[in-house]
Amino acid sequence: MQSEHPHVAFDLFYAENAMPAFRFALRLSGNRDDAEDLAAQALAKAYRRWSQYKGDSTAQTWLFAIILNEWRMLCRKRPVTEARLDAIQHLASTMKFEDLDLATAIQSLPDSLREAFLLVKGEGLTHAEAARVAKVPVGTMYFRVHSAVRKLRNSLSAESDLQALEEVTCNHEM
Amino acid sequence: MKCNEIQKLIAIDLSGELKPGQRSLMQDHLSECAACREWLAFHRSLENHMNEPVSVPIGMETRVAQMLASSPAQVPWLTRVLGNQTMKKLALSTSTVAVLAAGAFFLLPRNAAASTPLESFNKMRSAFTSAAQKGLLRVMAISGKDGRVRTVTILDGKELSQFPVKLNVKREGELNVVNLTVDMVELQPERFRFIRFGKAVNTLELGPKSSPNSFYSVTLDPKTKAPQKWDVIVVEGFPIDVNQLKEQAPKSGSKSGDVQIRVEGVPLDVRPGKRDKVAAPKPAKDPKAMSGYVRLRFGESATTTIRPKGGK
Repeated sequence: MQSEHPHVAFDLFYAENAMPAFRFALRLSGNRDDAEDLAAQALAKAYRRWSQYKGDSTAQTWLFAIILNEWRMLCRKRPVTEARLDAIQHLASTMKFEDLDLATAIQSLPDSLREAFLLVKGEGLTHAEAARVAKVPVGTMYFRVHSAVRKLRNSLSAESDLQALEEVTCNHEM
Repeated sequence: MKCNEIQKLIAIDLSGELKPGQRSLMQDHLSECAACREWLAFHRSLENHMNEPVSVPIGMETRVAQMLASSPAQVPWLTRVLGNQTMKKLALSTSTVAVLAAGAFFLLPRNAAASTPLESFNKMRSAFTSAAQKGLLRVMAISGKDGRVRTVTILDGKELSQFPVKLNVKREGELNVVNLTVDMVELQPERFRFIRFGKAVNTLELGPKSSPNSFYSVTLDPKTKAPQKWDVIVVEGFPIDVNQLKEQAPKSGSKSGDVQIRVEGVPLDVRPGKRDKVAAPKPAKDPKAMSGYVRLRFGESATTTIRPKGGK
């Protein structure tokens, strides 16, 4: 997407951005209805305001910023006080192997760390891009991602992780 | 640097934001620290779990379109176009051009100069050999203080840390001889169960038949198709550092010594597949052998240029 083509067809815009937008929204909210609301609103806002695109970040970075902002507003109106089983299952459904343990651990992260983790590790943004989305300094984003990964490592069974590593054999030669 | 500092750098490196100097320090530490290698493996496992597409609700597109249509004041160009016949005709013609242009942009293969993954793959192999003949293929050997050796392949300044290199360490007198084989036969198309474009632009994914649970993710230079990055993606379990597995201590004990590294290559054989009707690019002159050596003491690192036999 480039700012010099503000009238690019809607269907092409949607094809490019709908899946990452919905996935990020689903992982944030843990609820398909909320995720669809968030993603649809963000996609519509992004397309409407395309003329405001300043070209200093990728289109998806901008889109994630809208989704994150809408989610935070929703949380202020409807605070979530505990992780729900269905939220964990929805989160697991967005991952390979649908790892419930990992989904539970991610869902249990503090909001700021979870958002950082989902942006960098989930959606593949750089720390600098994620910092722009979350409106924090990049050093803060480095810290949040590192802290999130450390908490996940501690939450998940350390024994099973290490055991899996010990079972690796040197058979990777071609 | 301490492990805590290194582990902070790992996430930054995985997102491509680490400075070269810090990266070198990190890699030196990783070569000797199993705990940090486990940390790196955990990071990659997380990314592997999270990198999964999801199905978008069927009605969402219609819903977004309805949202746009319900707020015409915020889309002045749409209102102007639909309300004016002359502008409508003009907009339809120009928007048609824009749609066609945008469609061509989005629908063209990721690599316009190579229309199929196999073609990109063959160009990659040819570019690799060509670079080697120009003296741009180097192997850096890094010896731990215990004599264990790992290698890093560097092609025209780009580090291919997971490029498959066969490594064998043995002792010859007072020399620790490390034999490395850059075996291009293993990179023939028939050695893979799949060759496909990756999700990112200018990437190939290669699934070796010998490793059903993993595949290579190769980033290519968009113009030359030379590999710029070479990673191993494990479908199940934790990623395996190929170079880590190659570390072998010398058979006879020695607390100090020199390491001589020889690298031998196998001539390329670039041929189009039976189902690929696109002619393969003209292959570079096959090197009969690619060799080089470096003398290395324990705890040191050195780099050698791999050249064809009889080369400069």
